[in-house]
Amino acid sequence: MSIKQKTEEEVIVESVSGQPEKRIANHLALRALWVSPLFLILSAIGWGLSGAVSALLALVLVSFNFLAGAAIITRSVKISPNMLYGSVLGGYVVRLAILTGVVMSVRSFDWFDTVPFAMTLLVTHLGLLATETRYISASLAYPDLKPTSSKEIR
Amino acid sequence: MLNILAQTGAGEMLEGLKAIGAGLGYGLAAIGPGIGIGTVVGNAISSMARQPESAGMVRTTMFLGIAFTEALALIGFVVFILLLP
Repeated sequence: MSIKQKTEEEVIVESVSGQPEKRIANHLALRALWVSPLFLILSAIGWGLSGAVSALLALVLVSFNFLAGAAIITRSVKISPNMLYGSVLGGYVVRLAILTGVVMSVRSFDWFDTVPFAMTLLVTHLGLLATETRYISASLAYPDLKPTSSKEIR
Repeated sequence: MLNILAQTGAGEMLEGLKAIGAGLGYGLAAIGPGIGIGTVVGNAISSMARQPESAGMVRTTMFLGIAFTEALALIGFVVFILLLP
């Protein structure tokens, strides 16, 4: 068995036995990074620098929301199903509270514009999720993302 | 109480009512996704208990289900920050 084969097997094992929600959340955050210039430019054109900063804040919050949700599931699923249930529902409330707290604390600043923030938050969250369904395999062999090539199992 | 209300200007009262409405709307909008997430996670746990070998697949579907359901709460949040005076 060559070193290359071993490496590929290791990657496959990691993919199957790993943390599907974490890999999806990382993929979502990466795609948020890819689409960020579009939202930043659109917001900068419409609302100036404050619009771009608000859109950036929305993108950061959306990515944080996905990553935190996945981290909560990954940690709690190892403990027990009851813990999973409780922490997902508790995590939902906590994440909404964080989102509200961040926005309430920055909304009085000059560099914050509500409309580009709200637009970016909603469109990015729903758009990223809708496009992510194209990359999801959800099969027994690949429970999270579809394999992109024979070498790379993402 | 009535004296205080009588001394308050109509504009101030309108702002206050707007804030109350925004807060109530956000709270009500967060109830539905809470029930939805509970249903999603409950059914996912049931599936994982019945077929432990498909737990990875179920977790993937559960994560996406939670994220889609949360979008409803985000809509409520957006309405809240747009309505706030």
